[in-house]
Amino acid sequence: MSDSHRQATAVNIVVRIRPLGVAWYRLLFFAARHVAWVTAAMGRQQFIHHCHWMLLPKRVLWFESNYDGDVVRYMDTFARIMPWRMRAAWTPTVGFPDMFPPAGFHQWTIDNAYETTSYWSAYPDATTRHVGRALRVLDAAERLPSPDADITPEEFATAWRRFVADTQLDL
Amino acid sequence: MPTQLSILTAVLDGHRDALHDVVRAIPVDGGPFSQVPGTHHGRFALISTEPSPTARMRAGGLDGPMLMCSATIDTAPSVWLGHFLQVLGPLAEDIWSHCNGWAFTVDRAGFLLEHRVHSALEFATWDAPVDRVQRALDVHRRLSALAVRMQGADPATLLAAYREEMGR
Repeated sequence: MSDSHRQATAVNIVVRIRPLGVAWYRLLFFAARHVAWVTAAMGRQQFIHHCHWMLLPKRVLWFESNYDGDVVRYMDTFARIMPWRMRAAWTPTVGFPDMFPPAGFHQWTIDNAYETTSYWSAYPDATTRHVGRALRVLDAAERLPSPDADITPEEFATAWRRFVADTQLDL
Repeated sequence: MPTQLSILTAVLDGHRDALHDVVRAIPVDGGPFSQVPGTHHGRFALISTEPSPTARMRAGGLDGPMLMCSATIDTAPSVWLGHFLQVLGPLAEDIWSHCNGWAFTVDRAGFLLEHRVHSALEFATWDAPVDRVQRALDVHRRLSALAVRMQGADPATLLAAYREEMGR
């Protein structure tokens, strides 16, 4: 399927914005760029690699995301964990039915999620959580002595045990 | 933080299906996005407002069929785009010749940059360049396996195994 490259998935949501909605989006995106709290919950979920929103002429909102999973589950998860921020993000669009009850929201998601015709990811086998674990392990590994360093086996073993203890949840 | 480069072009009347065939034939593994350094993800999305060949290309808020070429990149957009066009070669012509304005332009990179749509908001869970992400995944794989193999090993064996694993 062209929307995914192994584990990595692409979504395009393209929706018309209601009159006056553009002003709301400019304010919302300005706030999100400057106040970390607005997007913090997205980061905690750890299933979006990268996403972005674009405001097009003629009141069109274009959203692209690179993430793990399928689009309905993706939107549903955010509806449950950050409902008010989801309402802030989608209510100014034409036809948005609110997230509850979920059936209408699921249908709205399906109706507005457009096919990606061709998609590629540089790390298609790694979920977002996997990338996070790997980056933390790399950070810790860079504090280990270099393999070429003049170090005794006992000194290295001590550093290794500390490394394993520090990263055991990520290994 | 990586940058989003999104290029939106209008598809010429009657060209949608031919463009769809061209884009669908682009290889994924080993394809053009994979050959441009500093690329996290890349996509082509052909979005139509006409009766569509697939159920999921249907009317939206756009005036006509549009082609979105979008990538998450670590380098400057103009540099990345120059490299991408070089990699695409004649395929660039096959793709954007179906789009409005391409036939009348000499500066291909300039044409595409003129059609760039800037992001109003970007988000990344992990703020790391693609080279570091790939290195991290490789180191994670090696050290996870080493940690399992070296449980209970004496210090000299551990250091030798670590040197062998990470010295590669």
